[in-house]
This record gives sequence, structure tokens and C-alpha cells, in this order.
Amino acid sequence: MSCEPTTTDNKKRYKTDVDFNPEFFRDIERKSNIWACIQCGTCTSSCESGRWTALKTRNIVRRVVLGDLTVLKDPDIWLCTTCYQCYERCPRDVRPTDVILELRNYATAMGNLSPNHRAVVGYLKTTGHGVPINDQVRKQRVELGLEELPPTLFKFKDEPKSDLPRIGTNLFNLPEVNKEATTNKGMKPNGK
Amino acid sequence: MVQQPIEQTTLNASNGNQKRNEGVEPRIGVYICHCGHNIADTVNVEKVTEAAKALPNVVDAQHYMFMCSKPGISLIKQAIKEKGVNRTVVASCSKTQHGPTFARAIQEEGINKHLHQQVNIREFCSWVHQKQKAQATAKAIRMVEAGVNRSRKLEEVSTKQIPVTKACLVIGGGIAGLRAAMDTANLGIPVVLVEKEPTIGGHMTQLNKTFPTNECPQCSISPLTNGVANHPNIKLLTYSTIKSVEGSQGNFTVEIETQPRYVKENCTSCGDCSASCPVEVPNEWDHGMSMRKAIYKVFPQAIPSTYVRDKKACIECQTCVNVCPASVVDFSMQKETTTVKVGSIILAVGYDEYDPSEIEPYHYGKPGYEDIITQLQFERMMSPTSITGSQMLRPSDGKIPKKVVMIQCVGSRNDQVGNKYCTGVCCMFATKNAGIIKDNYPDTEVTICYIDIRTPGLYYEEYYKSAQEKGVRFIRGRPSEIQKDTKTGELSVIVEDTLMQVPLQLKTDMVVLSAAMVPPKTIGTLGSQLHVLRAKEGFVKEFHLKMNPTMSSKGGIFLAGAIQGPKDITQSVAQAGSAAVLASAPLVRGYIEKEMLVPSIDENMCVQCGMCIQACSPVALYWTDDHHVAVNEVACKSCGLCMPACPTGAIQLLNFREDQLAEEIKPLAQKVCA
Amino acid sequence: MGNEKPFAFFLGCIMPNRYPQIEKATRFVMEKLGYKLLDLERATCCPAPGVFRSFNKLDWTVTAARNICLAEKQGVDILTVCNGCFGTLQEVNKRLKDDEVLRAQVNEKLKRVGDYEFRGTINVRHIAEVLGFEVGPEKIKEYIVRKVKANAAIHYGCHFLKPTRVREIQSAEAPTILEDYAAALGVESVEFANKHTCCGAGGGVKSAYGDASMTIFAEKMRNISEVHPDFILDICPFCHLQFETGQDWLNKNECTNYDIPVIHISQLTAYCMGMDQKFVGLQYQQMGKAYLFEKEAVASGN
Repeated sequence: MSCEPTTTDNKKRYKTDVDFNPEFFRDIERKSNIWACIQCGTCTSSCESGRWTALKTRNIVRRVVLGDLTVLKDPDIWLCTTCYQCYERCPRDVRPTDVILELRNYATAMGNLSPNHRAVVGYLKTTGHGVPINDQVRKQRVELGLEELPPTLFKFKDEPKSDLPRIGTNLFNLPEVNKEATTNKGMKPNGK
Repeated sequence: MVQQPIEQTTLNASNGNQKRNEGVEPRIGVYICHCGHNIADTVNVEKVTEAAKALPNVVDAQHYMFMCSKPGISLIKQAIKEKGVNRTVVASCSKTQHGPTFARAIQEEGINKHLHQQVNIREFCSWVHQKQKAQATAKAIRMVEAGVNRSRKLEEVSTKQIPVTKACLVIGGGIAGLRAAMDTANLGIPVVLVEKEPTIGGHMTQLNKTFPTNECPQCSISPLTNGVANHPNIKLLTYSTIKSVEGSQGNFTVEIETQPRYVKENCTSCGDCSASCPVEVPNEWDHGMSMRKAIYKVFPQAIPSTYVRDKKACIECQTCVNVCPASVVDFSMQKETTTVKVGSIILAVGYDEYDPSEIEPYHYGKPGYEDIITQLQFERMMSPTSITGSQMLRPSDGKIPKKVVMIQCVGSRNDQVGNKYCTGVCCMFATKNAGIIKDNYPDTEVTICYIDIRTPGLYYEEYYKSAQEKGVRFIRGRPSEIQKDTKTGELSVIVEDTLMQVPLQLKTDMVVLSAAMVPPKTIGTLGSQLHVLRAKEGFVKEFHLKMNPTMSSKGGIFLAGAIQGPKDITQSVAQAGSAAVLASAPLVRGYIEKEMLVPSIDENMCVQCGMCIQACSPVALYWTDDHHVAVNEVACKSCGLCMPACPTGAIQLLNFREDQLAEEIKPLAQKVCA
Repeated sequence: MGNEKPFAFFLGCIMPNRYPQIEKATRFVMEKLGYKLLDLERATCCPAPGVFRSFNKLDWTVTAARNICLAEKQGVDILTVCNGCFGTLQEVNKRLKDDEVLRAQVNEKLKRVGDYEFRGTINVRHIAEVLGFEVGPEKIKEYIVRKVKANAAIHYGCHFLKPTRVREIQSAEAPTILEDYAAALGVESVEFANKHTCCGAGGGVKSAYGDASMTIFAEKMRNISEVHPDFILDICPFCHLQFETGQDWLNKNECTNYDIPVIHISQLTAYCMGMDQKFVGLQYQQMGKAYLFEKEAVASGN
């Protein structure tokens, strides 16, 4: 009979240094001073979103300092409204809002971007607007005595030398959806 | 600060400062140390010695295992006796390490100790080039040549004894100043103690209890305050400030201005004047927590034990004059000026409490937020002399709070607003006050919101533990704001419990802010009068943070207590003793012995632009009456800043003259340029 | 007042494409004040700081720089009426002026989009600080023909004042610029709990996590509704959208009964300067359709 240990399985319950990669976030350290963080929690307690959602700003910064890459798949980083309260009040001048925006850039580059946000990028590329106009508002504009179409790029998009196609090809080119991305943690994204 | 010429006796005077050593041919002895393996393993000491022998004016060159040892020193002394060596170069360790050893040795043989030149071929050569032996040896040879070049041009420098005034001025009558005054007076030195408030005792007498023993501070300090008031060697000037300071270490002349109390000395403290006075103003002693009259005694046990009239608040109704049974109220009293001559000054003016109104989310000081107070205000409320009768009451409605939240690090440890440093005392005094609340009001919930709890003294950690055991709740989190319910007016402290990772809204009846210790407002003027350097936080800068925290940047002025940096009573008292000794040393001896390593001025080259005077931070250069630049040798710190300031090179620091340094640099630079 | 000083009117997205009445009101106000509003033709989305900056900071900077270049070509400052647009354009403008390395990087990518080069020659302004400081509560009285008698819940939003070190307008903890200005128009600001919290729409939260956005918003509405203001005064079309659609969503999903009109500072100012109530456009908005300002005539110059 072979001896199969049952009380000690091979999965580590504690993390070691190999699970962390702080060098990965060296760029964020340079820009936002995150190594100065003393985990005082002023950011979390200032957070307008964190009061109601799972976003714990201090925890996000901690994971970036330690180099816990799971933070890039965490949907919580998308719950920040960028209100800047934490940024204004941090006693070590860590600038957490900037940290979260950088993390989002990384996550996007990895393909962790919600379908709704992809749609907004699509609108920018096709209309030049994140929120394009609709028929009802066109009518409303005329009734108010304004030009039916505001003089934005959308109005001129069919011009021969319009910048719109070049914006479409050069800017905000998103990678494919990452199938192993977020677990949503119970928060319902729009459209579900 | 006007300079005055000082009587001096000169020791060891050889040729004096102004002239060079003309007519005495340099006979240089060069000694290379192996320092065991430290130098000899990397640098070929024999080669260096041979190279030294070939240099001009070198009459002796030897190497030895340990130059600093007894046989090593004997070697040098013998060379002086037998070979007529009249200046030495030792190539070994650093100047700080053994420079004085060799300098003392040659002095014992009758050679001025400033004719010794130290060349560091250990820290600057063998230790840093261990893998490059050939190059290290070549470098050592060039370094020794540089040292010999310098040695050839060295001058004798005399040491003078400057007689001092046997008296000491202590500025500040708080715990540090009192202790310093007492310790100095007990050494037999007459002391003048100046205090700006009408009473001595400072912040310590404002406290309710002191940690970690929870003693009554008025009781602890009373022997000291009474002792100082009655000491035959101490002259106490309260309600006084410094008007001007002249002179330098060993001989200062200080003008002190004493405000009129308008109450004569034989006041019996009966209190009738105060009782009948119609004017009420905020009581600064109580940090605004109560009112006082225009004629008042700071607190019942105040020393000196008299009343004082606040002229600005007074409406001159003269009720107090009429009511006083001893007729000691005298509106005609005038300011008095006292001039004292002292040899040393001890600066012990303490600290102010940070004003938290700068931190907007905490709403301190705003109307409607009266129940947010500071720790000092809390101490005043609980102290035996308090207006509430030592009761903890909410300022807004006089009720006993059922919940109290204390916030740490207010104005400390903050890069955006307030101060970057940690005050280091607030963890202890918040723990103290929280424990006192639990002792007296066991039903009141007390919470301390902290980032770290710092307990760096003996018994301090145990004190923290006992507060926890009393039921003080400690939440690790820095509150982001204090909110007020728009309907009920109830305060809430918003904080994340970082250990539980849960954001909390702590409803509370009172908030106590642990505000930082900051330099006192008065140090602006006082610092300029004394010409002491300030650290960037505003505290007075010590001479060396580790090795000499009690000396200031200016000779003759010493520091004691929180003025040198936030600290508690234990540390203040310890430092005060140190200040007393350092201040008294020259006074007990009767003179200051000083090496005259000072600048000399070539009148032919001086264009009288005054740049050197501007550059001199110890204020040791001054204009004479006929507009020449003169040196106050006592104040000079030999820093040499006058030299680069001078556009013509007229001012030169002895033994650091430009031509001396140029000669030294030549052998080192030639290699680079070749 | 304006001495015909020209501004390039940056429209953004939400205002021209959802709340054109704010555009109408702004044009009315600036003309009455004597400023010239030029069209900034071919502008795009600023791009919205919460969404696009989260995706790719460089491309966000490039898109914003292009919009700024359009104004630089006209040689005029940009005027926006939206915190989001202000947040993007003011910050990008400042960063590109200060950071040479970033500027070079951005200009290189800009060339791929068109003939654009950021030079750093113009400034970006927000109508709230033009009205609140440059014109100011005293001077505005010379231009209004009526005041409104109203209690309002004033909502600053987040990106007008913050980050304070970039915007340099006023302290964000206890600002007074809008209250002082609105008082000149007859508006009394009502204090409500947590007055300076975010509306919950920004940072891409509204588009990706609408529920979270509504949870944050719900608290704000609870606090506002408790003080029964006549209307909510805002300075950002995106907050405007949140207050409008949010109240509607809460009514439908959380059994509330909100109907508080949402007014942008341009709409209020235009009305006080004599613009007809029908152009204020409440009939097009979801909340407070029937609300009429309670007016009080003043002679110009009072």
C-alpha cells in the first residue's frame, strides 16, 4: 500500500518571495512614490467608492508595492471614480489615483477590459465621440436654435482629409479579450 | 551683534598669527605606517618610503608596523631629537583618528602641534583599492608628496586662553531651563534665568499627569521651581524677554527687558483684585478652554506667587487698585531693563503645540466644532487647577462624553500639510490620557486611531499594554475626515481599520487631536539675536546630531529640551544636565582655550567690499571704526567660508591658505592632467 | 466685461449630444458678457478622463493634445463647461508644457494623426472659474436682469478643483467659489451631509459597473433630498447626466420618488441674464420638467 499524505497537501498556504514581483511595477514606483506608503488607510477611508463597494485603495497600493500581480485581474481597480480625495489627503504623497490609472493601463494591455468600455472605444473610432449624438437630440438642437450637428469631427467625418480614420487606426488599439480575466466578484457589470 | 576686542593671554606663542615662519628651514620627517595588514597588504610601504626620501626638505623617512603605538611614537620623537626634524608627515589612517595622537607627540618634543601633517593612505587608498596594488602604491606615493608639499608651507598656530565671565544665562523657565539653571548654579556659577511668562514651569505645569508613572507634574516639579526661586546663585527674571545679545563665547553682554506686572512684590495672592475685575479674556494658559480676568494669577501655585495685570485687556477702571487690601496694585510701574554679563548661554525655550486648523478635514477651531480639542486642551481640562474642576466635559454643552476618539499624528508624519517628522511623544501622551479617561469614567468608550504606536522608553511598552488592558480601543488607521451630522450635530470620525480592512464611521461625542510639537513662535526673533542656525523644521540646530546634540552652531550657546527637537520630559532633563556641564566647563576653569586657527587679512589686497563679513555665519568678522575688517578670534570656527567669498584673496585662513592648498594639490592633479 | 476676448468653445460629448440646452445657455451667457465664442471645428471627445485615460495614457494624451492644437491654431484659449473635459484638457496642457520628454513623444505620435504639433501657447478655462472669479459675484450683478429665489444643493464635482496642485483654483476641502457666485444670482446654498462627495459616475464606473455607480449616487441623493432643495446646481454635464438618469433609475429600482430639477451653472446664469425659461430646457430633461424659477426682477447694475 502506497503512503499518500492526507494531512499535508502540497499547496502552500503562505506566499513566498517567488509569488511576488515588485520589479514589475517599478515604473509605477517611479511616477507615484508608492514605496513611501505606510498603509495608514487614509486613502480607503477617504474613498467615495470604497464606502459602498469592495474597493480598498490601501490594499491595492499594498499589492502593487509587494508586486502581487493578481491585482491586474482584480475588478476592484475599475471601481474607482477618480475623485482624487485619496490623492489630496495622503500623508506620504503616494498619489493612489495615479496608481490605479496605471494599473488599468496594464490590465487593458493584458486584455482585461470590459465589453462596455470596448464599446466606448469603438464609438470614439467611428464617430470621434465617446457618447455619440442620436436622432432625438438632433431634433432638440434644432428646436433650441442650435446647428443640428455640433461642429465636432463627427460633422466633418466624411471629408476627404478627415482625421477620423487615422485616429481609428493609430489610437486606442486594444488587445483581444483575455478569457482568464476577472471573476467579477459578484458585482454585476452593465449589460448582464 | 557688535564685536568687542577681548583681553587674552597667549600660550605657546611662537611667531604669532600674521607672519610666516621665516628663517627656519623645514626639516621634514616622513613616517609610513603599515597599520598591520591594512595598508601594507595593498601599498608597498618600502617603495613609498624610498620615494619620500628623495623629496626636497625631507631629512628622515621611515616605515613601521604601527606608528600610533608606543614604539612608533618613540621613533618619531627620536628623529626629532637626533635628526633635527622640525615638522612631521605621518602617512597612516585618517586625521580624525590619529591626527591628534601624533600632534600631541611632537608637541611634547616642543614643536608646535600644527606642524604635523596627516596623510590618509588607509581610508583614502589601501582600503578602497585592495585589488589594484600597483596603482595603490603609486597613488600613495603621490599622496605623500602632496602631504610633504603642504608640510613645507605649514605655519605655527598659537593657542590662547581667553578669560571668561563666570556667569550663565538660561533662557526659558520650563523643565529643561529649570533643571539646567539648577545644575549650573550647583556648580557654583551665578545664573540668570529669563522666562517670558509671568510664571516658571512651562508646559509641564500645564499637564494633568506625566507618563509612564502618572505622577502629578506640579508635585514633581515643585521642589525644582521652589529650589530655583530660592537658590542663592539664581536670579529669576520672569515676564521678561531678551532685548539684545552682544559678544561671543566666554563673554556675552545681554539686555533683558522685564514687563511691568503692575503688582508689587509683596502681593499676598489674596485674589480680591481678580474677583472684582470686570474684564474677561480667553485664558492662554488654558489654551482657550476658559477665561481669565485682566488682572490674574496664571495658576494658584504659580512661582513667583503674585498677580499680574494684562495691560492690553485692562480697561483701567482701577477697581483692583481700590479693592486691594495690601495696596500693591500700581499702574505706574514701568518696564525695566537689566544688563547682564555672562560667559555661556543655555537656550531652553521649549515648544508650541501645532495648530490643527491647517488640516481642513478635521475642522479644528471652526464654529460648531467645539468638541474637537487638542491633547494640551484636554490636559488643561483634567488638571487639578482646571475650570471644569478636573472633569471631562464637552466644551459645547458641558456634558460628560460617552465616547471619545483620539487621532494620532496630527501635523506630524505628513508630507502634504503640517510637518514631515514624527513628534515621538504623542503616542505616549494619548495613551496616558486615554487611560486616565478609563480610570475616571469607566463607562466612556475611548478609541485611539493610530498609524503606529511608538513606545521608545523604559516602561513605555508596558504602559501601552496596561492601557489596552484598561479597555482603551486601538484602531490602526489614520482618519481621513471628521463629519458632523447636519441634523443631530453628532460627530463621526471616518477611518479604515486597516487590520480588519473595514471602513468605519465612529460616532463620537468628543475628538482629541494629538497635535505635533513645533518650535515656539518666539524662536524667530530669538534665533536671530543669538545667531544660532535653525534646522529646516525650525528647531535650533545642534552641533552634531549624534555626537553633540547639546551644543549649538554658535560657541558658548547650548541647547536643552524641546527647542532642539521634540522630546519628552525625561530626555529634556537629561539634556539639561548635559547643557549645564558644557556651559559651566569654561566658567569653572576660568578661561576658554582656543587654537588660533583664524583668518589673516592682507591689507594691501583688501578692497573693503565686506563679502567675507556677509559670508561668516559665526559672525566672527567685523568692521572696525576705520572701516577695516577685523577678526573676533573667539567666535571664529575656522570654517574657511570667508575665503571663497573674497574676490581678491585678501583673507586667508591660517594653514589653509590658497598657496598651501595649491602646493598640496599639484602632485595629485599632475597625474590626471598628464 | 469680456472686451470681445475670444474663446474656442470646446463642446465635448455629453453637452452637445445629450444636453444641448447647456450649450445654448453658455453661448447666451458668453455673448452677453462680451466674450467671443469661436467654434472649435473638428474637435473630438476630450477624451473622457475616466474611461480613455484608464485604457492607454499615451493615446489619451495624444487625443487631448490634438484638441488643444486645434485651439492653438486659432490662437485662442479653450473654454469648457465640463469637469471631465476640463480635467483632461487642463491637465494635459499643463503636463505637456512642463515635460519636454513627454511632449516630444506625444508630438511624434500626433504626426500620425494629422499635421499637429503641440506648442503650449494657450490655456484651458472652465466656465465656473470664469464666472466665479474672473467675472465674480460683484460684476455679474451688472449683467443680470433678474435673480432667482431658490435654495440649491450645490455640487462641485471632482475634477474642477482636484487635484488642487494641478488646477490651482481653490482648496477642495471647503471651497466657496460657487456659493459666493450663486448668491449673487439669488441662490442660497443648502448644507447637506457629505456635500463634496463624487456623483459616482466618473472613472469609467458608470459605463462598466452601473450598479456600483448607482450605489454611490444613491447616498448622495439621500443626503440631498433630506434638505429639500429647489434644484441641484452643477458645473459638469456628466454629473448632470448622473443626477438625471440616476434619479430616474432610483425611482424605478429603489422605490424612491425623486424629482429634483438639475441645473447647470450656464443655464442658471443665462436665465438670470434674461434668457427665456423655455430655452433653459427643463422640458427636455427627465427631472423637474415643470419647475419654474421663482424670479425676482432686478435693475441691471444692482
